[in-house]
Amino acid sequence: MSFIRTLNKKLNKVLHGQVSADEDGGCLVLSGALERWSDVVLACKMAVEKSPYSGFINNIECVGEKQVPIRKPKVEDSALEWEEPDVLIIGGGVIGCAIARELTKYKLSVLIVEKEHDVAMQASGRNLGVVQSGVGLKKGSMRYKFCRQGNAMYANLCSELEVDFMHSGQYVYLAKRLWDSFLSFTLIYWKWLGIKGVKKLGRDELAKYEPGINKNIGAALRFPASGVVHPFDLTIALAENAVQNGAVLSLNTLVTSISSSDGVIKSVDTNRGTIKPKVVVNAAGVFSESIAAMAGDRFFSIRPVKGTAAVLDRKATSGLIQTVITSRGLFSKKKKHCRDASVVRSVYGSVLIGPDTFETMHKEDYTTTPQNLKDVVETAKRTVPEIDEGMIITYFSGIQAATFEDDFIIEKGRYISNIIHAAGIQTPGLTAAPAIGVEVAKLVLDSFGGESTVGLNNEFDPVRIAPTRPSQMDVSARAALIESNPDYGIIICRCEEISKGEVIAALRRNVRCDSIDGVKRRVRPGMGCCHGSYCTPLVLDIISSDKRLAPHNVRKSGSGSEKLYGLSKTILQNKELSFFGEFGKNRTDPETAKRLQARAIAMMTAHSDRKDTDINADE
Amino acid sequence: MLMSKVGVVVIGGGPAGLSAAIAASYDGASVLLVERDARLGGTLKQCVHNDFGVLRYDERLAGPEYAFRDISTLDQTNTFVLLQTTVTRIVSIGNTFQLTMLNRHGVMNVESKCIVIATGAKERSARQLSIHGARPSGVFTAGSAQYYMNIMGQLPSKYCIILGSDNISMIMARRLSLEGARVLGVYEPKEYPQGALKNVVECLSDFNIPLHFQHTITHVGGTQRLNSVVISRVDKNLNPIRGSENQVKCDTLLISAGFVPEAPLAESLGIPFSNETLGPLCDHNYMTLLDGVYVCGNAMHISDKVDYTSESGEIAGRNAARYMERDRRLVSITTSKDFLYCAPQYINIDMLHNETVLYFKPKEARENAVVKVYADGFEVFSQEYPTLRPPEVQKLAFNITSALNPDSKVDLRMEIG
Repeated sequence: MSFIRTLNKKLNKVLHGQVSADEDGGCLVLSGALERWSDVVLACKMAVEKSPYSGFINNIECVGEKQVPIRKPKVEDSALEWEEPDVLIIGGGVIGCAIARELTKYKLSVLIVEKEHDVAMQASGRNLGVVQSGVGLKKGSMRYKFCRQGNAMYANLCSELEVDFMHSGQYVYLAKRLWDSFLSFTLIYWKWLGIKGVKKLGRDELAKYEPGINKNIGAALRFPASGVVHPFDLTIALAENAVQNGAVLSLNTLVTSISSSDGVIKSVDTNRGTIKPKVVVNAAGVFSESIAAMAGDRFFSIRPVKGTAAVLDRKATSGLIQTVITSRGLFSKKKKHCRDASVVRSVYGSVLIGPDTFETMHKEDYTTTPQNLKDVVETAKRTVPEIDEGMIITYFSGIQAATFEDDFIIEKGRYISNIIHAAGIQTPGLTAAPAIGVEVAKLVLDSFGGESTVGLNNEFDPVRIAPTRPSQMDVSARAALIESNPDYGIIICRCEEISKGEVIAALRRNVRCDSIDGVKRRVRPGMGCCHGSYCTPLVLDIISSDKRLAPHNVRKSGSGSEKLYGLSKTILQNKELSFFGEFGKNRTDPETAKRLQARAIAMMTAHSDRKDTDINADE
Repeated sequence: MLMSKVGVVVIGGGPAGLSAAIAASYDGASVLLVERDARLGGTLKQCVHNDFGVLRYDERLAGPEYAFRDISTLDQTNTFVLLQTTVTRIVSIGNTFQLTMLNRHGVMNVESKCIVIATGAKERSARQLSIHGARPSGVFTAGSAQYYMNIMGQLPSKYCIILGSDNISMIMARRLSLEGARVLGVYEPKEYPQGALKNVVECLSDFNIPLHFQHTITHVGGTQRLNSVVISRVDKNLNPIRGSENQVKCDTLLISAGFVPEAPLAESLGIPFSNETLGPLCDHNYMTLLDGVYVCGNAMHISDKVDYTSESGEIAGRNAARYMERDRRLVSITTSKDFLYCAPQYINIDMLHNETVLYFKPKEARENAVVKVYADGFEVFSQEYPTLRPPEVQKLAFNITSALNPDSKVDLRMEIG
């Protein structure tokens, strides 16, 4: 009890009695009310520091900010009613899909539910795609363990799934140059950690491998085990392979409640019916705490960490960087939470920069701000000075589901026997995913009485055939492909050289895809420098005809994101097109032109003083 | 796989490409015209307003009508047309170019000594403008909204805010109003409209659509469909002023931030580009700095008049048909700071018998300006312009009769009459 007493004293001093700590069922619990989220994080970090408890629950209400409600799918049906899968995986991110694929190796029926319209919609699809080698992770932590194991599995996994993976290596330098000479000493540390092949490079050597790097960087370490992968590709491939081996993926499916009795989950309610699984896997990312709470097995709290990253044009950055360059400790105020910022050459040749990092209470707020973007560019410039804002094609933000203890939670439920948590997955979650998949599969098997009772799925096929990419083929193969299907000869996106045939193929794969963004993530039309201004309408048209949807029912991404509102008036009323307002047709005579000009100028001055609120007055 | 040799390959079947193909085959060349879309006409197909052809035909034609005239002329020639065909690669081998093309019949290789690039322009997008927010549906470039409406017959909006006041955005404001949407306002970061004043009247004031200057959009709201935008005032440097934000409910943001020449094929050949026009640099025959490659239309520079686009195509096509391998000696045309740019940027002093048709954009609005061409300090040509307005392109056609040498200087100056 003494820990709680001292903690309460500390909390009292810093937060003036608004927060108090207590113990509940072996977990440390903070409760109270605070105005700002940053204070909540502060209190929680104070609490978990040196906490002897194995769980931590944050019950502090943040009264200053309103939590945005969870994004819900619009569908309401009973498609899943009375489903009784052996395993229900909640969450179709890279973790959920890796677990699902692993489980299909055994004689188990697997159902994955994902609330979004596609897999990899949240943290899994919103990161830089770096496969890390374990830099900056504490030995003995779950993050370190799974990162190392996952890294070792990547090459094989990606070749099985036909996903592009570049073992490009990673350069790490210290943002504080004072410590450069110290780098040589760390070599022993890496050896002790078991990270092989780490080398220290001086300025000249660095410039040889990475000509674009800042000449002021005196030294860096090279980690050959790191690499890059495309995060959507990997998750989609995992999902496709899982489905190919018998798993069922239900998109647009939100878990609304879980009923359990006697420490066992009996049923799981969703917007698509009630499911009765034998085992539940919680891989719900930022919402894993809510799922744990629904199940009555909450012993951790999620601390969403948001970051913004930018994508730079492939052509503009050619020659600037080849691999991954990471600067350590740029954002660090305290050593403990030092974050890295990277410049990454992605598998498709574009360059990704970022992320900046900050705490947020909103779990799905993917908005970006000019300030975020500016910070990201400024930071990247310190690594590669030639980077500038003009190279940016697009930018995005992602939210990691970290815990306050900053470690993964991969374990069986503490109060509920048939739930397994794969929660608190933050960096390097993407690297760790394959290993987490294996670990969770093991835990699942244990709850069915081990591998021998369950039995192997003899029909398991580890190979997933990647979508055809004619632009990578040689001429004769491509010609043959076009002969077999002429659609492969119709290019709809010049930037990325994507054909109509590829779009149609993406729409017909085993993981449902019927949105413009879904197509974009799979075959990349619109990812290039023209941002889809030419191809988006064409993709919409292809989706509309292939899925037999009216154009106004074709969505950009999730439900409610339709692009069009149905037929235009001219078409509806079968009229001739009309172009004119109150005046008649030709007005080219000089007199009229002069009059018009005078009117235009009068109008311009009138409107420029007008208040913006006017335009909404009668809405 | 098809292999063939052609005199001139014209890439792009818009107004510039059509004119280039016609002119080249009138001059006796064997011409191949390659178009990525299923129909010829380029962007004209979706421009149903009648603002085309005033200079060329002294008539106001709708876009498709204008294109139809060229297409019917093209039909009279021996030009070979490949539709729904994309040129994916050009490599230069010795003095010929090998083009790899793709269409539903397969992969083709075509050899030619002469290429005309008429690939038009692309629109700048929201991302390039730094508009932040989640990525809801409902943000369109003016051009793609025009495609949805005029080609697909679909309405992309019900309550719309438009950013940018160039011709296409004003025309879209009118089209949206006519097709059943409400345009709540047009916002322009600069102090004057970017398009023609005629359109301010015909497209905005006739439809009671307010036009706001010195405003920009800084944020889009909504996660699935856009539900609001944040409008801010901007200062002189076009930076948003803090505290002036105002949220307006709407379901669509139409962005028209202008166009950029799109010539990735020229880029792949390593042809140098201009930092001002953003298109390939070229001489007064519209040949780029790579021998045998010509450029015209919006791929060369962004023009607000289709008549000029066609004209440049004609010149490029004619010169391409007469292309002969020989050394070029180029003299660059320098402009005084009254000009934003001029295109072409060079004069080939070995072919001074060809007229120079030059397009320029002025930097500031001017009344009664005189543009003079000087060669080695001597005035060789001058032309008066009653009004010059920055976004509008002006034309200058002149002949330099005096002999020039490689050290000569040609410059463009502007005087106020």
